[in-house]
Amino acid sequence: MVVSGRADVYGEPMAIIETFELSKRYGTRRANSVLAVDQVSIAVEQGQVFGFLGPNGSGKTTTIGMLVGIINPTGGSFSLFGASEPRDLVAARARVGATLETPNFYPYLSGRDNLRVTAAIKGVGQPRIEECLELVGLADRAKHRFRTYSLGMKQRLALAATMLNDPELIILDEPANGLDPQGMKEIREIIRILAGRGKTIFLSSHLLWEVERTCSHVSIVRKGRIVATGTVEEVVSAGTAALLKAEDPDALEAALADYPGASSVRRLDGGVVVALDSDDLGTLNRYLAGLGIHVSHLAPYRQSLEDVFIDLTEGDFDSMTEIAS
Amino acid sequence: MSGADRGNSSPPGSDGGSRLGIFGTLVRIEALKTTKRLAFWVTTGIFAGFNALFVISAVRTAIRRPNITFALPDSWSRILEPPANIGPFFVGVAMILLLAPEFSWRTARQNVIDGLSKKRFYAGKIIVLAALAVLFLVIPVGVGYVATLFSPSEGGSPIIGPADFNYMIAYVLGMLLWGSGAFMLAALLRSSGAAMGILFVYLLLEQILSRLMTELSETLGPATDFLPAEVQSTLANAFLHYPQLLAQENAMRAEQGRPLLEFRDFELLAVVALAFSAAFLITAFLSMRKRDL
Repeated sequence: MVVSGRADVYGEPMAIIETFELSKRYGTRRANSVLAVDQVSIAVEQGQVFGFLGPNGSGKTTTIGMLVGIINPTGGSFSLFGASEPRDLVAARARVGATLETPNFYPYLSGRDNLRVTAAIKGVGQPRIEECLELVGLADRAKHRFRTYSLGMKQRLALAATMLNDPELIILDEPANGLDPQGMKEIREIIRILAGRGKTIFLSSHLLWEVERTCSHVSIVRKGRIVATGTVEEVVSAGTAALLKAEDPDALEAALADYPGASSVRRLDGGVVVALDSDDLGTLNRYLAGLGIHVSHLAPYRQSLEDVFIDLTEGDFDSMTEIAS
Repeated sequence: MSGADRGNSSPPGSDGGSRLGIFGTLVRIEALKTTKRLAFWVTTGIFAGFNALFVISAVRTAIRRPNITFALPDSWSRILEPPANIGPFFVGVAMILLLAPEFSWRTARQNVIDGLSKKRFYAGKIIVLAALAVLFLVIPVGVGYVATLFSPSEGGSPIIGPADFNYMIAYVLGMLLWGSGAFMLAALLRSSGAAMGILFVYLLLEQILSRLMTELSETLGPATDFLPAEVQSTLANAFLHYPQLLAQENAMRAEQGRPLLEFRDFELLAVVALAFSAAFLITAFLSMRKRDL
């Protein structure tokens, strides 16, 4: 990972976003209230492409909402470009381009007129509007009303609005929602171009392979709490995993599930992947042999970000499966 | 993109913008949002249509019955009375239509994300309220003036006298009262349908409340004069502003043995209307500041 760009007076990379035990509780009565964000502390430095991952309802959008000023925190603090006072935050937010969840525009206005509203807020002139419309491929449909746009076009318009003021920090919440594979690729390319220009990008997504390809840093949030953070490489290699194969994969899986050093077990390509607390594969082999299970394959397994994500948020998906069943 | 490419206006969210610059930006934003909104033109068109009907009727009467004149400067009261009664209602409806959808479309939220502070978003809507009051005053004055040109009655200069001016102020205060009440409902309920529903229901409720207060207590009875809709209704009454009209009316009532009309001071009613407007707008502001978007 490369951290580029400006540094503070002490030569340390400048924190563009810094949260300290940031919390949000919905509802005033403690018994009925929901703690959506629970003491989240993260630091995003200049030039990073920061992935913010979590299952639906884990508090990602609420956290971003607090950063962009639409949700009032109930605990902790945060700073943007070093500004933490409300008055300074308004000025700091002028350096941010952000879009949250679904694209929000005036349905009766054309794409161009919607950008005019955004441009007036951001203090941007007409030439930049046309430039951004060209960039996202909407120049031909710019005169049509927003309500006639497909979801993919709405996402593109949101991206154009985000880029209007050439922001130093770009916050994108699920930018690939509703896009076809080509659209996703284009979004990824745009993010790469922007990152190449030294922009700091804060990307919330559940498309893990997209994040793994695009981001330099990542935080995984579960039930409002950060459960892993660091460079993508650090997060991915934080845990040890092994891929095992045996004649009877069911027996192998059952045995691994009972192994004291295993944190998660799952089937993969005719084998079983087990996440381990330590990298001592010899002990694991002896444990299985003791149960009469002789493995035909036992090797360290490099987990993907998706594997780590599922390990860390497993309980949430179990409960979803329960609901579905 | 270089700084030069961004245009020369400073972002309204930044500290660098002057108050005048910010005001200009807010006017530009709200003008773009409003003038392209069909609902706004429909509301304004219906209001203008009503005004046209009133003055056409006055012109026709003047043609048929020459003793009933319709000419300026004497007919300002006739021009202003219908809009003074219905105009505030139209401003309330327009205000709801221009504010509440900002929450359901989540554009208020996006405006803040884009760099407009909640305070400035609110200020933009105050500008809309003021602009609506001006527009809904200009329309009947303009339509009325044009109509007098087609009237056979002889008149003089269309000069606006002190009583006419007071009537216009009262009309504007009525619009601000309803507009700010609608503003508060839109900000609190964040739904056009619910806000309009409550606005209509309130009118009925105030009548019931007024009757109850009068029946229950002698001391509470006079207080009904200061309920919001009652204040607006009194302000819209031409008799409050034209003593000669009131004298004629009361002379007629005296002949018929009916109770004479009495009104509270215009200044007092104006202060009460302004106080209600301020209370409604402050409530809306506090709600918008405290609640998440």
